[in-house]
Amino acid sequence: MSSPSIISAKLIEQNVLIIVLTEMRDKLRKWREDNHRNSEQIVDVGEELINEHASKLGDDIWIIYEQVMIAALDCSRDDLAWTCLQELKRQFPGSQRVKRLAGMRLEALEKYEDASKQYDSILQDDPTNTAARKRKISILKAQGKSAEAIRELNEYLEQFVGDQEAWHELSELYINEHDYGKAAFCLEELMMTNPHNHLYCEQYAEVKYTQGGLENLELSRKYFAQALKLNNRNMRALFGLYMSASHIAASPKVNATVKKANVKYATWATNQINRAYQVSYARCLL
Amino acid sequence: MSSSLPWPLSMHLLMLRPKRNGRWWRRSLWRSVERVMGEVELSCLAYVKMYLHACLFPRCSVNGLLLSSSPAGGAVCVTDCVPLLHTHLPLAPITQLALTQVDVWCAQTQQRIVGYYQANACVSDSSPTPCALKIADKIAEQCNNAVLLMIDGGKMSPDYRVPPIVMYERKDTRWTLKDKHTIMLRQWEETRDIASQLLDSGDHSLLVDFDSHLDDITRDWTNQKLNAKIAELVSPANALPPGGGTVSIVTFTWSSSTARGRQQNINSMSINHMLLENSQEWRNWLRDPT
Repeated sequence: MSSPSIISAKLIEQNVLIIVLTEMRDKLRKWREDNHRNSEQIVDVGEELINEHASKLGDDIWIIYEQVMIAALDCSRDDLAWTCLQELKRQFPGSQRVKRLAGMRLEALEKYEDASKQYDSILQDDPTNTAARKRKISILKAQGKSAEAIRELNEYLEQFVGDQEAWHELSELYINEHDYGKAAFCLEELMMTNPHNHLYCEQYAEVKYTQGGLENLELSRKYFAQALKLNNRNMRALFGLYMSASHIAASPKVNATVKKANVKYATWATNQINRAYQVSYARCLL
Repeated sequence: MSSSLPWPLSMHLLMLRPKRNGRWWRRSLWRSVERVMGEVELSCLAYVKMYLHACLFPRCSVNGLLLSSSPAGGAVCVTDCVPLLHTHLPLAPITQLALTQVDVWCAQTQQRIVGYYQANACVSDSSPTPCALKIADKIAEQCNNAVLLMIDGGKMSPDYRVPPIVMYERKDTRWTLKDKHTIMLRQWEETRDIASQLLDSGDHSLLVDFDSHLDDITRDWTNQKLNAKIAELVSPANALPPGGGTVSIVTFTWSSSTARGRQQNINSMSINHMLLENSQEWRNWLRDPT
Protein backbone atom coordinates (compact mmCIF):
# COMPACT_ATOMS: atom_id res chain seq x y z
CA MET A 1 0.00 0.00 0.00
CA SER A 2 1.54 3.28 -1.01
CA SER A 3 1.26 5.96 1.63
CA PRO A 4 0.37 9.56 0.73
CA SER A 5 3.95 10.64 1.32
CA ILE A 6 5.26 8.18 -1.24
CA ILE A 7 2.63 9.21 -3.79
CA SER A 8 3.39 12.88 -3.27
CA ALA A 9 7.13 12.18 -3.48
CA LYS A 10 6.56 10.43 -6.81
CA LEU A 11 4.48 13.35 -8.07
CA ILE A 12 7.17 15.79 -7.07
CA GLU A 13 9.77 13.66 -8.83
CA GLN A 14 7.69 13.60 -12.00
CA ASN A 15 7.17 17.34 -11.89
CA VAL A 16 10.86 17.94 -11.42
CA LEU A 17 11.57 15.65 -14.35
CA ILE A 18 9.12 17.56 -16.54
CA ILE A 19 10.76 20.85 -15.57
CA VAL A 20 14.22 19.48 -16.33
CA LEU A 21 13.01 18.10 -19.66
CA THR A 22 11.40 21.38 -20.66
CA GLU A 23 14.57 23.24 -19.77
CA MET A 24 16.73 20.96 -21.85
CA ARG A 25 14.32 21.19 -24.78
CA ASP A 26 14.25 24.96 -24.55
CA LYS A 27 18.01 25.13 -24.47
CA LEU A 28 18.27 23.01 -27.58
CA ARG A 29 15.63 25.09 -29.31
CA LYS A 30 17.45 28.32 -28.45
CA TRP A 31 20.73 26.95 -29.78
CA ARG A 32 18.98 25.77 -32.92
CA GLU A 33 17.31 29.10 -33.58
CA ASP A 34 20.42 31.15 -32.85
CA ASN A 35 22.51 28.78 -34.95
CA HIS A 36 25.14 28.34 -32.24
CA ARG A 37 27.97 25.99 -32.97
CA ASN A 38 28.44 24.84 -29.37
CA SER A 39 28.51 21.23 -30.48
CA GLU A 40 29.97 19.74 -27.29
CA GLN A 41 27.12 21.18 -25.21
CA ILE A 42 24.48 20.12 -27.73
CA VAL A 43 25.83 16.58 -27.70
CA ASP A 44 25.80 16.50 -23.88
CA VAL A 45 22.27 17.74 -23.51
CA GLY A 46 20.89 16.06 -26.62
CA GLU A 47 22.36 12.64 -25.91
CA GLU A 48 20.81 12.56 -22.47
CA LEU A 49 17.49 13.71 -23.86
CA ILE A 50 17.50 11.06 -26.57
CA ASN A 51 18.67 8.17 -24.42
CA GLU A 52 16.60 8.80 -21.32
CA HIS A 53 13.52 10.71 -22.38
CA ALA A 54 12.82 9.90 -26.02
CA SER A 55 9.24 8.83 -25.35
CA LYS A 56 8.28 12.11 -23.67
CA LEU A 57 9.39 14.39 -26.48
CA GLY A 58 6.70 13.69 -29.04
CA ASP A 59 7.33 15.01 -32.51
CA ASP A 60 10.14 17.27 -31.34
CA ILE A 61 12.38 14.23 -31.26
CA TRP A 62 13.03 14.31 -35.01
CA ILE A 63 14.37 17.82 -35.14
CA ILE A 64 16.41 17.08 -32.05
CA TYR A 65 17.83 14.02 -33.76
CA GLU A 66 18.90 16.21 -36.67
CA GLN A 67 20.46 18.83 -34.42
CA VAL A 68 22.27 16.28 -32.29
CA MET A 69 23.49 14.41 -35.35
CA ILE A 70 25.12 17.50 -36.83
CA ALA A 71 26.67 18.34 -33.45
CA ALA A 72 27.91 14.77 -33.07
CA LEU A 73 29.61 14.94 -36.48
CA ASP A 74 31.28 18.15 -35.33
CA CYS A 75 32.63 16.40 -32.23
CA SER A 76 33.68 13.21 -34.04
CA ARG A 77 31.02 11.20 -32.24
CA ASP A 78 30.38 8.77 -35.08
CA ASP A 79 28.43 6.35 -32.93
CA LEU A 80 25.87 8.93 -31.86
CA ALA A 81 25.61 10.36 -35.38
CA TRP A 82 24.96 6.90 -36.81
CA THR A 83 22.19 6.20 -34.26
CA CYS A 84 20.47 9.49 -35.03
CA LEU A 85 20.75 8.91 -38.76
CA GLN A 86 19.25 5.42 -38.49
CA GLU A 87 16.28 6.73 -36.51
CA LEU A 88 15.68 9.49 -39.03
CA LYS A 89 16.02 7.11 -42.00
CA ARG A 90 13.51 4.78 -40.43
CA GLN A 91 11.01 7.56 -39.84
CA PHE A 92 11.53 9.49 -43.09
CA PRO A 93 12.62 7.08 -45.80
CA GLY A 94 13.50 8.79 -49.09
CA SER A 95 13.62 12.27 -47.58
CA GLN A 96 16.02 14.78 -49.18
CA ARG A 97 16.78 16.32 -45.82
CA VAL A 98 17.86 12.95 -44.42
CA LYS A 99 19.91 12.28 -47.55
CA ARG A 100 21.75 15.52 -46.92
CA LEU A 101 22.49 14.39 -43.38
CA ALA A 102 23.84 11.11 -44.73
CA GLY A 103 26.05 13.13 -47.07
CA MET A 104 27.31 15.21 -44.14
CA ARG A 105 28.23 12.06 -42.32
CA LEU A 106 30.26 10.90 -45.32
CA GLU A 107 31.97 14.29 -45.36
CA ALA A 108 32.85 13.93 -41.70
CA LEU A 109 34.45 10.57 -42.53
CA GLU A 110 36.38 12.38 -45.28
CA LYS A 111 34.75 10.27 -47.99
CA TYR A 112 34.36 13.31 -50.18
CA GLU A 113 33.69 11.46 -53.44
CA ASP A 114 30.80 9.50 -51.95
CA ALA A 115 29.42 12.59 -50.28
CA SER A 116 29.59 14.47 -53.57
CA LYS A 117 27.69 11.68 -55.32
CA GLN A 118 25.06 11.79 -52.60
CA TYR A 119 24.55 15.52 -53.09
CA ASP A 120 24.49 15.10 -56.87
CA SER A 121 21.65 12.60 -56.53
CA ILE A 122 19.71 15.10 -54.40
CA LEU A 123 20.28 17.79 -57.02
CA GLN A 124 19.14 15.48 -59.78
CA ASP A 125 15.79 15.07 -58.07
CA ASP A 126 15.57 18.71 -57.05
CA PRO A 127 17.88 21.17 -58.83
CA THR A 128 16.80 24.04 -56.58
CA ASN A 129 17.97 22.36 -53.39
CA THR A 130 20.25 25.02 -51.95
CA ALA A 131 21.45 22.91 -49.02
CA ALA A 132 23.02 20.28 -51.27
CA ARG A 133 24.76 22.91 -53.38
CA LYS A 134 26.19 24.58 -50.31
CA ARG A 135 27.43 21.25 -49.00
CA LYS A 136 29.24 20.64 -52.28
CA ILE A 137 30.97 24.00 -51.90
CA SER A 138 31.89 23.07 -48.31
CA ILE A 139 33.54 19.91 -49.61
CA LEU A 140 35.74 22.02 -51.88
CA LYS A 141 36.58 24.27 -48.96
CA ALA A 142 37.44 21.30 -46.74
CA GLN A 143 39.75 19.93 -49.41
CA GLY A 144 41.55 23.27 -49.55
CA LYS A 145 40.43 24.04 -53.10
CA SER A 146 39.54 27.64 -52.32
CA ALA A 147 39.69 28.94 -55.91
CA GLU A 148 37.12 26.37 -57.02
CA ALA A 149 35.01 26.96 -53.96
CA ILE A 150 34.96 30.68 -54.76
CA ARG A 151 33.98 30.00 -58.35
CA GLU A 152 31.16 27.64 -57.38
CA LEU A 153 29.92 30.03 -54.72
CA ASN A 154 29.86 32.88 -57.23
CA GLU A 155 27.76 30.75 -59.59
CA TYR A 156 25.45 29.86 -56.73
CA LEU A 157 25.02 33.51 -55.77
CA GLU A 158 24.15 34.46 -59.35
CA GLN A 159 21.09 32.26 -58.97
CA PHE A 160 20.30 32.85 -55.31
CA VAL A 161 21.20 36.49 -54.82
CA GLY A 162 19.42 36.86 -51.50
CA ASP A 163 21.34 34.19 -49.59
CA GLN A 164 23.07 36.20 -46.86
CA GLU A 165 24.90 33.25 -45.39
CA ALA A 166 26.46 32.60 -48.78
CA TRP A 167 27.55 36.23 -49.22
CA HIS A 168 29.21 36.12 -45.82
CA GLU A 169 30.93 32.84 -46.64
CA LEU A 170 32.17 34.31 -49.91
CA SER A 171 33.56 37.35 -48.10
CA GLU A 172 35.46 35.04 -45.72
CA LEU A 173 36.88 33.07 -48.63
CA TYR A 174 38.03 36.25 -50.34
CA ILE A 175 39.61 37.55 -47.12
CA ASN A 176 41.58 34.33 -46.77
CA GLU A 177 42.76 34.74 -50.35
CA HIS A 178 43.75 38.34 -49.57
CA ASP A 179 41.40 39.59 -52.31
CA TYR A 180 40.15 42.52 -50.24
CA GLY A 181 38.37 44.35 -53.04
CA LYS A 182 36.00 41.48 -53.72
CA ALA A 183 35.55 40.79 -50.01
CA ALA A 184 34.49 44.43 -49.63
CA PHE A 185 31.95 43.97 -52.42
CA CYS A 186 30.38 40.98 -50.64
CA LEU A 187 30.20 42.91 -47.38
CA GLU A 188 28.58 45.84 -49.22
CA GLU A 189 25.82 43.46 -50.36
CA LEU A 190 25.35 42.35 -46.78
CA MET A 191 25.25 45.90 -45.46
CA MET A 192 22.60 46.85 -48.02
CA THR A 193 20.28 44.10 -46.87
CA ASN A 194 21.17 44.48 -43.17
CA PRO A 195 21.70 48.18 -42.58
CA HIS A 196 21.37 47.84 -38.80
CA ASN A 197 23.96 45.14 -38.32
CA HIS A 198 27.00 46.74 -36.70
CA LEU A 199 29.17 43.68 -37.27
CA TYR A 200 28.98 43.93 -41.05
CA CYS A 201 29.87 47.65 -40.91
CA GLU A 202 32.80 46.94 -38.68
CA GLN A 203 34.05 44.07 -40.82
CA TYR A 204 33.74 46.18 -43.96
CA ALA A 205 35.73 48.92 -42.27
CA GLU A 206 38.44 46.41 -41.32
CA VAL A 207 38.70 45.19 -44.91
CA LYS A 208 38.96 48.76 -46.18
CA TYR A 209 41.64 49.53 -43.58
CA THR A 210 43.61 46.48 -44.67
CA GLN A 211 43.39 47.56 -48.30
CA GLY A 212 45.19 50.76 -47.39
CA GLY A 213 45.50 54.05 -49.21
CA LEU A 214 44.06 57.36 -48.11
CA GLU A 215 40.59 56.93 -49.63
CA ASN A 216 40.17 53.49 -48.12
CA LEU A 217 41.31 54.74 -44.72
CA GLU A 218 38.74 57.54 -44.83
CA LEU A 219 36.05 55.07 -45.82
CA SER A 220 37.11 52.71 -43.05
CA ARG A 221 36.96 55.52 -40.51
CA LYS A 222 33.42 56.36 -41.63
CA TYR A 223 32.27 52.77 -41.35
CA PHE A 224 33.89 52.29 -37.97
CA ALA A 225 31.96 55.37 -36.87
CA GLN A 226 28.78 53.92 -38.35
CA ALA A 227 29.33 50.66 -36.49
CA LEU A 228 29.77 52.64 -33.28
CA LYS A 229 26.57 54.54 -33.95
CA LEU A 230 24.74 51.24 -34.27
CA ASN A 231 26.41 49.75 -31.20
CA ASN A 232 28.43 52.04 -29.00
CA ARG A 233 29.97 49.14 -27.11
CA ASN A 234 31.77 47.65 -30.08
CA MET A 235 35.40 47.84 -28.93
CA ARG A 236 36.82 46.78 -32.28
CA ALA A 237 35.03 49.68 -33.96
CA LEU A 238 36.32 52.08 -31.32
CA PHE A 239 39.91 50.93 -31.72
CA GLY A 240 39.47 50.91 -35.49
CA LEU A 241 38.21 54.49 -35.44
CA TYR A 242 41.21 55.54 -33.38
CA MET A 243 43.67 53.78 -35.65
CA SER A 244 42.22 54.94 -38.95
CA ALA A 245 41.90 58.55 -37.75
CA SER A 246 45.49 58.50 -36.46
CA HIS A 247 46.80 57.12 -39.72
CA ILE A 248 44.96 59.75 -41.76
CA ALA A 249 46.20 62.54 -39.50
CA ALA A 250 49.75 61.23 -39.75
CA SER A 251 49.64 60.95 -43.55
CA PRO A 252 51.66 63.62 -45.41
CA LYS A 253 49.04 63.91 -48.16
CA VAL A 254 46.28 65.57 -46.13
CA ASN A 255 45.73 69.27 -45.65
CA ALA A 256 45.62 71.00 -42.29
CA THR A 257 41.82 71.00 -41.81
CA VAL A 258 41.51 67.30 -42.46
CA LYS A 259 44.44 66.66 -40.15
CA LYS A 260 42.86 68.71 -37.38
CA ALA A 261 39.53 66.95 -37.79
CA ASN A 262 41.11 63.52 -37.63
CA VAL A 263 43.15 64.41 -34.57
CA LYS A 264 39.87 65.41 -32.96
CA TYR A 265 38.27 62.08 -33.88
CA ALA A 266 41.26 60.13 -32.62
CA THR A 267 41.24 62.04 -29.34
CA TRP A 268 37.56 61.37 -28.90
CA ALA A 269 38.15 57.68 -29.56
CA THR A 270 40.98 57.65 -27.01
CA ASN A 271 38.69 59.14 -24.38
CA GLN A 272 35.96 56.64 -25.13
CA ILE A 273 38.38 53.72 -24.93
CA ASN A 274 39.79 54.96 -21.66
CA ARG A 275 36.30 55.42 -20.27
CA ALA A 276 35.24 51.96 -21.39
CA TYR A 277 38.20 50.39 -19.55
CA GLN A 278 37.55 52.47 -16.44
CA VAL A 279 33.89 51.48 -16.39
CA SER A 280 34.63 47.81 -16.79
CA TYR A 281 37.35 48.03 -14.13
CA ALA A 282 34.89 49.67 -11.75
CA ARG A 283 32.35 46.96 -12.51
CA CYS A 284 34.91 44.32 -11.59
CA LEU A 285 35.44 45.94 -8.22
CA LEU A 286 31.76 46.01 -7.34
CA MET B 1 75.14 14.44 -14.32
CA SER B 2 75.82 17.44 -12.16
CA SER B 3 73.88 20.45 -13.21
CA SER B 4 76.80 22.75 -12.57
CA LEU B 5 79.17 21.14 -15.07
CA PRO B 6 79.14 22.83 -18.44
CA TRP B 7 78.81 20.24 -21.15
CA PRO B 8 81.27 20.47 -24.01
CA LEU B 9 79.83 20.96 -27.43
CA SER B 10 80.70 17.45 -28.65
CA MET B 11 78.90 15.81 -25.73
CA HIS B 12 75.99 18.07 -26.41
CA LEU B 13 75.81 17.02 -30.05
CA LEU B 14 76.18 13.38 -29.02
CA MET B 15 73.12 13.65 -26.86
CA LEU B 16 71.16 15.23 -29.66
CA ARG B 17 71.62 12.36 -32.05
CA PRO B 18 68.22 10.95 -33.01
CA LYS B 19 67.21 7.50 -31.87
CA ARG B 20 65.83 4.90 -34.25
CA ASN B 21 62.33 4.74 -32.82
CA GLY B 22 61.93 8.49 -33.06
CA ARG B 23 62.02 8.98 -29.31
CA TRP B 24 64.79 11.50 -29.47
CA TRP B 25 62.63 14.07 -27.73
CA ARG B 26 63.45 12.30 -24.44
CA ARG B 27 66.94 13.62 -24.85
CA SER B 28 65.81 16.95 -23.54
CA LEU B 29 65.80 15.60 -19.97
CA TRP B 30 69.29 16.93 -19.25
CA ARG B 31 69.32 20.25 -17.50
CA SER B 32 72.58 22.02 -18.02
CA VAL B 33 72.70 23.19 -21.58
CA GLU B 34 75.47 24.62 -23.63
CA ARG B 35 73.26 26.95 -25.56
CA VAL B 36 74.22 26.84 -29.19
CA MET B 37 73.43 29.42 -31.81
CA GLY B 38 70.24 28.60 -33.68
CA GLU B 39 68.78 26.48 -30.88
CA VAL B 40 65.26 27.09 -29.79
CA GLU B 41 63.83 25.94 -26.51
CA LEU B 42 60.10 25.85 -25.96
CA SER B 43 58.94 26.05 -22.38
CA CYS B 44 56.06 24.06 -20.93
CA LEU B 45 54.01 27.20 -20.36
CA ALA B 46 54.33 28.38 -23.96
CA TYR B 47 53.54 24.97 -25.43
CA VAL B 48 50.55 24.31 -23.18
CA LYS B 49 48.97 27.69 -23.89
CA MET B 50 49.47 27.32 -27.64
CA TYR B 51 47.97 23.85 -27.54
CA LEU B 52 44.99 24.97 -25.47
CA HIS B 53 44.44 27.92 -27.80
CA ALA B 54 44.28 25.58 -30.78
CA CYS B 55 41.92 23.27 -28.87
CA LEU B 56 39.67 26.08 -27.70
CA PHE B 57 38.92 27.12 -31.28
CA PRO B 58 39.14 23.89 -33.23
CA ARG B 59 37.16 25.21 -36.18
CA CYS B 60 39.11 28.43 -36.73
CA SER B 61 42.62 29.39 -37.62
CA VAL B 62 44.31 30.76 -34.54
CA ASN B 63 47.52 32.66 -34.09
CA GLY B 64 49.63 34.21 -31.40
CA LEU B 65 53.03 35.51 -30.44
CA LEU B 66 55.94 33.74 -28.77
CA LEU B 67 57.74 35.64 -26.04
CA SER B 68 61.05 35.23 -24.32
CA SER B 69 62.23 36.64 -21.02
CA SER B 70 65.85 35.64 -21.53
CA PRO B 71 68.31 38.20 -22.95
CA ALA B 72 69.03 38.46 -26.65
CA GLY B 73 71.98 36.60 -28.17
CA GLY B 74 72.66 32.88 -28.34
CA ALA B 75 69.83 30.41 -28.22
CA VAL B 76 66.21 31.47 -28.18
CA CYS B 77 64.24 30.37 -25.15
CA VAL B 78 60.50 30.77 -25.62
CA THR B 79 59.12 31.21 -22.11
CA ASP B 80 55.59 32.39 -22.76
CA CYS B 81 53.10 32.99 -25.52
CA VAL B 82 50.22 35.39 -26.09
CA PRO B 83 47.25 33.99 -28.00
CA LEU B 84 46.00 36.66 -30.38
CA LEU B 85 43.19 35.99 -32.82
CA HIS B 86 40.77 33.34 -33.88
CA THR B 87 38.83 35.32 -36.50
CA HIS B 88 39.94 37.12 -39.64
CA LEU B 89 43.62 36.59 -39.26
CA PRO B 90 44.48 38.34 -42.56
CA LEU B 91 42.79 41.61 -41.54
CA ALA B 92 45.12 44.36 -40.40
CA PRO B 93 43.60 46.64 -37.75
CA ILE B 94 43.22 44.20 -34.86
CA THR B 95 46.52 42.49 -35.66
CA GLN B 96 48.32 45.83 -35.58
CA LEU B 97 46.59 46.81 -32.37
CA ALA B 98 47.44 43.50 -30.73
CA LEU B 99 51.09 43.66 -31.83
CA THR B 100 51.44 47.18 -30.43
CA GLN B 101 49.83 46.28 -27.12
CA VAL B 102 51.92 43.14 -26.70
CA ASP B 103 55.04 45.10 -27.59
CA VAL B 104 54.39 47.67 -24.90
CA TRP B 105 53.54 44.98 -22.34
CA CYS B 106 56.74 43.12 -23.16
CA ALA B 107 58.81 46.26 -22.71
CA GLN B 108 57.32 46.70 -19.26
CA THR B 109 57.76 43.08 -18.21
CA GLN B 110 61.28 42.63 -19.60
CA GLN B 111 60.25 40.23 -22.32
CA ARG B 112 60.66 40.37 -26.04
CA ILE B 113 58.67 38.98 -28.96
CA VAL B 114 60.72 36.20 -30.52
CA GLY B 115 58.27 34.38 -32.70
CA TYR B 116 54.83 33.76 -34.06
CA TYR B 117 52.64 30.69 -34.05
CA GLN B 118 49.62 29.75 -36.09
CA ALA B 119 47.30 26.78 -36.37
CA ASN B 120 45.33 26.53 -39.61
CA ALA B 121 41.65 25.65 -39.61
CA CYS B 122 42.26 23.13 -42.35
CA VAL B 123 43.87 20.20 -40.58
CA SER B 124 45.50 18.75 -43.65
CA ASP B 125 47.45 21.89 -44.44
CA SER B 126 49.99 23.11 -41.92
CA SER B 127 52.06 25.28 -44.22
CA PRO B 128 52.48 28.97 -43.33
CA THR B 129 49.91 31.27 -44.90
CA PRO B 130 50.94 34.59 -46.48
CA CYS B 131 49.72 36.52 -43.46
CA ALA B 132 51.79 34.27 -41.18
CA LEU B 133 54.86 35.00 -43.26
CA LYS B 134 54.14 38.72 -43.21
CA ILE B 135 53.80 38.92 -39.45
CA ALA B 136 56.84 36.68 -38.95
CA ASP B 137 58.85 38.96 -41.25
CA LYS B 138 57.85 41.94 -39.13
CA ILE B 139 58.97 40.15 -35.99
CA ALA B 140 62.23 39.09 -37.62
CA GLU B 141 63.02 42.77 -38.27
CA GLN B 142 63.24 43.28 -34.52
CA CYS B 143 64.61 39.91 -33.46
CA ASN B 144 67.36 38.10 -35.34
CA ASN B 145 66.54 34.53 -34.38
CA ALA B 146 62.79 34.84 -34.75
CA VAL B 147 60.91 31.61 -35.27
CA LEU B 148 57.71 30.78 -37.07
CA LEU B 149 55.84 27.89 -35.54
CA MET B 150 52.98 26.09 -37.26
CA ILE B 151 50.84 23.74 -35.21
CA ASP B 152 50.11 20.61 -37.17
CA GLY B 153 46.47 19.79 -36.51
CA GLY B 154 46.82 16.38 -38.11
CA LYS B 155 49.14 15.23 -35.31
CA MET B 156 46.97 16.45 -32.46
CA SER B 157 45.24 13.13 -31.83
CA PRO B 158 44.66 11.94 -28.23
CA ASP B 159 47.57 9.50 -28.27
CA TYR B 160 50.12 11.58 -30.11
CA ARG B 161 53.72 11.01 -29.12
CA VAL B 162 55.55 13.75 -30.97
CA PRO B 163 54.99 17.47 -30.42
CA PRO B 164 52.60 18.52 -33.21
CA ILE B 165 54.69 21.51 -34.25
CA VAL B 166 56.66 22.48 -37.31
CA MET B 167 59.20 25.23 -36.86
CA TYR B 168 60.63 27.56 -39.47
CA GLU B 169 63.58 29.89 -39.25
CA ARG B 170 64.64 32.74 -41.44
CA LYS B 171 67.59 32.08 -43.73
CA ASP B 172 68.43 35.03 -46.01
CA THR B 173 64.95 36.28 -46.83
CA ARG B 174 63.07 33.02 -46.80
CA TRP B 175 61.52 30.94 -44.11
CA THR B 176 62.90 27.42 -44.18
CA LEU B 177 62.22 24.37 -42.07
CA LYS B 178 64.31 24.35 -38.94
CA ASP B 179 66.55 21.42 -38.17
CA LYS B 180 64.63 19.27 -35.67
CA HIS B 181 67.80 18.67 -33.71
CA THR B 182 67.89 22.29 -32.65
CA ILE B 183 64.40 22.35 -31.14
CA MET B 184 64.00 21.39 -27.52
CA LEU B 185 61.17 20.76 -25.15
CA ARG B 186 62.16 19.92 -21.62
CA GLN B 187 60.23 17.08 -20.01
CA TRP B 188 58.05 16.52 -23.03
CA GLU B 189 55.88 13.78 -21.49
CA GLU B 190 55.08 15.94 -18.51
CA THR B 191 54.21 18.89 -20.73
CA ARG B 192 51.95 16.73 -22.82
CA ASP B 193 50.23 15.35 -19.71
CA ILE B 194 49.63 18.83 -18.33
CA ALA B 195 48.06 19.92 -21.60
CA SER B 196 45.78 16.85 -21.69
CA GLN B 197 44.83 17.33 -18.06
CA LEU B 198 43.80 20.92 -18.58
CA LEU B 199 41.87 19.99 -21.70
CA ASP B 200 40.01 17.17 -19.98
CA SER B 201 39.10 19.27 -16.96
CA GLY B 202 37.70 21.99 -19.23
CA ASP B 203 40.22 24.54 -17.99
CA HIS B 204 41.11 25.44 -21.55
CA SER B 205 38.08 27.73 -21.45
CA LEU B 206 40.06 29.89 -19.00
CA LEU B 207 42.36 30.88 -21.86
CA VAL B 208 41.71 34.39 -23.13
CA ASP B 209 43.04 35.51 -26.47
CA PHE B 210 43.07 39.08 -27.75
CA ASP B 211 39.89 38.55 -29.75
CA SER B 212 38.05 37.36 -26.63
CA HIS B 213 39.42 40.35 -24.74
CA LEU B 214 37.89 42.70 -27.33
CA ASP B 215 34.57 40.90 -26.97
CA ASP B 216 34.68 41.41 -23.21
CA ILE B 217 37.36 43.79 -21.99
CA THR B 218 37.21 42.56 -18.42
CA ARG B 219 39.00 39.39 -19.54
CA ASP B 220 42.77 39.38 -19.20
CA TRP B 221 44.69 38.57 -22.39
CA THR B 222 47.90 38.01 -20.46
CA ASN B 223 46.24 34.97 -18.85
CA GLN B 224 47.72 35.39 -15.37
CA LYS B 225 45.21 32.98 -13.85
CA LEU B 226 45.94 30.26 -16.37
CA ASN B 227 49.68 30.83 -16.02
CA ALA B 228 49.36 30.29 -12.28
CA LYS B 229 47.36 27.11 -12.83
CA ILE B 230 49.95 25.72 -15.23
CA ALA B 231 52.77 26.70 -12.89
CA GLU B 232 51.09 24.68 -10.12
CA LEU B 233 51.05 21.59 -12.31
CA VAL B 234 54.61 21.93 -13.50
CA SER B 235 57.04 20.01 -11.32
CA PRO B 236 60.22 21.71 -10.03
CA ALA B 237 62.30 19.57 -12.42
CA ASN B 238 60.83 21.43 -15.35
CA ALA B 239 61.47 24.87 -13.91
CA LEU B 240 63.62 27.10 -16.04
CA PRO B 241 67.13 27.89 -14.86
CA PRO B 242 67.64 31.24 -13.09
CA GLY B 243 67.69 34.05 -15.60
CA GLY B 244 65.11 32.30 -17.77
CA GLY B 245 62.29 32.72 -15.32
CA THR B 246 58.62 33.28 -16.00
CA VAL B 247 56.94 36.63 -16.45
CA SER B 248 57.49 39.19 -13.75
CA ILE B 249 54.76 41.79 -13.32
CA VAL B 250 55.72 45.36 -12.73
CA THR B 251 53.12 47.00 -10.57
CA PHE B 252 51.86 50.42 -11.49
CA THR B 253 50.16 52.95 -9.39
CA TRP B 254 47.14 54.27 -11.18
CA SER B 255 45.48 57.47 -10.22
CA SER B 256 42.54 58.98 -12.02
CA SER B 257 43.99 62.47 -11.90
CA THR B 258 46.93 61.30 -14.00
CA ALA B 259 44.62 59.94 -16.67
CA ARG B 260 42.43 63.05 -16.81
CA GLY B 261 45.26 65.51 -16.70
CA ARG B 262 47.29 63.67 -19.30
CA GLN B 263 47.84 65.57 -22.51
CA GLN B 264 45.87 63.91 -25.26
CA ASN B 265 48.08 63.15 -28.15
CA ILE B 266 47.55 60.63 -30.86
CA ASN B 267 50.81 58.81 -30.47
CA SER B 268 49.80 55.18 -30.30
CA MET B 269 52.31 54.45 -27.54
CA SER B 270 50.52 56.84 -25.18
CA ILE B 271 47.17 55.16 -25.57
CA ASN B 272 48.77 51.82 -25.00
CA HIS B 273 50.38 53.04 -21.81
CA MET B 274 47.05 54.37 -20.64
CA LEU B 275 45.28 51.15 -21.45
CA LEU B 276 48.02 49.10 -19.89
CA GLU B 277 47.88 51.13 -16.70
CA ASN B 278 44.19 50.41 -16.45
CA SER B 279 44.54 46.77 -17.33
CA GLN B 280 47.53 46.37 -15.02
CA GLU B 281 45.38 47.27 -12.04
CA TRP B 282 42.89 44.67 -13.01
CA ARG B 283 45.48 42.04 -13.47
CA ASN B 284 46.72 42.73 -9.95
CA TRP B 285 43.16 42.63 -8.71
CA LEU B 286 42.36 39.48 -10.69
CA ARG B 287 45.33 37.75 -9.14
CA ASP B 288 44.32 38.70 -5.66
CA PRO B 289 40.79 40.10 -5.35
CA THR B 290 40.93 40.90 -1.64
